[in-house]
Amino acid sequence: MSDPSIEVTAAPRAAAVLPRRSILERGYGSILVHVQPDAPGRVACAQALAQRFDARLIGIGAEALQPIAVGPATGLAQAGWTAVTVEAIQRSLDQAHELFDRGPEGVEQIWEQAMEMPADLIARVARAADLIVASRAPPPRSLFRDADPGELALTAGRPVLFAPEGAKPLRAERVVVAWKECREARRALFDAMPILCSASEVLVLAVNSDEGAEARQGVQDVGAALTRRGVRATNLVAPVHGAEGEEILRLAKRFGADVIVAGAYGAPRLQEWIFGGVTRALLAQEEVHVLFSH
Amino acid sequence: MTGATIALDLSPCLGVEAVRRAGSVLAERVEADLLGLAALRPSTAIAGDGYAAGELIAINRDAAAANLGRAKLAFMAAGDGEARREWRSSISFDSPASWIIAEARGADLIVASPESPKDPDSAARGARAIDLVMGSGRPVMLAPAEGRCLGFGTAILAWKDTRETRRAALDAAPFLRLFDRVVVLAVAHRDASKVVAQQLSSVVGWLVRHGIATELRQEEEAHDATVELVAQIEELQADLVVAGAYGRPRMSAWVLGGVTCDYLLHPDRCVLLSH
Repeated sequence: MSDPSIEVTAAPRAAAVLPRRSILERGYGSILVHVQPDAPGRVACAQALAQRFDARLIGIGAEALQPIAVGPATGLAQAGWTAVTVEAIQRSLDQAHELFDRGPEGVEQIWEQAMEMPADLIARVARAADLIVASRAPPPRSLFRDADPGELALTAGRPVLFAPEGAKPLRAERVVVAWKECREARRALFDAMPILCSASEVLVLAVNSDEGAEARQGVQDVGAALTRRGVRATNLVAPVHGAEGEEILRLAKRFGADVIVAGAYGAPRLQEWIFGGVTRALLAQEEVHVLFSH
Repeated sequence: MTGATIALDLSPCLGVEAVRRAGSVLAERVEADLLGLAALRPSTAIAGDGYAAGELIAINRDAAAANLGRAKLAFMAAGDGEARREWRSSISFDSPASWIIAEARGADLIVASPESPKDPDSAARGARAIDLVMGSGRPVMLAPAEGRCLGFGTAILAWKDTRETRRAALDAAPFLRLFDRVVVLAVAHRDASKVVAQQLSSVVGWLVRHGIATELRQEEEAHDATVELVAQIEELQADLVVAGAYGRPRMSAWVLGGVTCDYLLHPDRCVLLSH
């Protein structure tokens, strides 16, 4: 054993015990972001993620012409107003493009723009992306210039990373999985795998109003799935009476997480989407990033 | 070991052998662990007075337990490959599908049997395949008892620009990597052909980004999209068909990715479905 060469060969063998990356691991090949001049945070977040995961970044500029009521006497005014608005939209799209182009070196960036509702264009381009980065621009907001992060999470068919404009840059060193035994959470877990696998510590958290033997089994299985992938994961079932969303946020903060992985719950009601309580709470805050799947 | 896990729904049924086989083939190919799951609902046929019924329930429960015991033996005995095997089973009056879904929470994929009307166990199994697809949030592979065994030649992604197809494509991307040839296929009406062509090329671009070289194929819808799709699947000798599943529960007609459920729920080869 005095031969030093044995030690040299021993080291890589020890390393080989670590799980290899499975061929089934998805990775983020393409990331999509809707670029608005007054929401630079989400663009920076998307660019940093693209760099980190070696992804292609698709930037979208979209703003639709807002129709106004036209009476016979105002036809002329309408024409003038339309010209002015089109010009304003064009200017805003140019600014967005400029902001996007200031991105980091070494990231493959693609730009696409159109004068249409942002949500429509995003949904169409989403098929070419693995992840959508979204946030809320400062008010006033309208369907014609803004895509709501919550609605995107429910409709795009892609995971959405909600990156609040007020949040600190995402590190994703410590991540919380907000676990619940339902389809959306199961999906979020796998959609978040690239982030989870590069985190240094993950907390699998179920907040539960009852005793929760089932919840314990759930977080245990999820923790085991992460551990098998070489992720340091701990489990916690926290009793809660009342606001689950606030409790998740509180525990995530205590754990030092800057991103929460969660299912997005909601249903369409007439003109708008109604979100579940936890989803609403996670969307209402501006401190922590949230990776939503539906 | 890679950390990947494939869950198999091995609840006793006619097609269970095909599920076991497809699971083993996949697990070996991707170096995944196998999680064998089986859930049965004891027969609830009640006759005569309460005493007899209680006895009958006990007998049925014992029969189900023996059934599951055999299933476990068959699963564990097939462990000749590298894959690590774990077994879990349940006998309960609750929905068997919900139990399978919950236990498969950490699995990359669920492999299950398509429903067969000929199956004598179908009552104990509950409506299974469609529940797994709609409720699990995981991609579900249906491996038919009769038909092509799972091979890794050609895979088809049946494209339709819906949330569910986008979802299916995202879920299927890692599996598509395993195939020699991947074809993104759309059957579209002539009026929509330009738009669809654009969609297809962006899907291909996205898959290339995942290291999957993909061909695209666009067929014009003349009469019936399903008939044309099935003809294409046949012509390409596909080993796997990937499709999005959408629909509203409790409606008599399920529509899956624009293709009637008849084919996708009773396929003649492996299909990979996501909702």
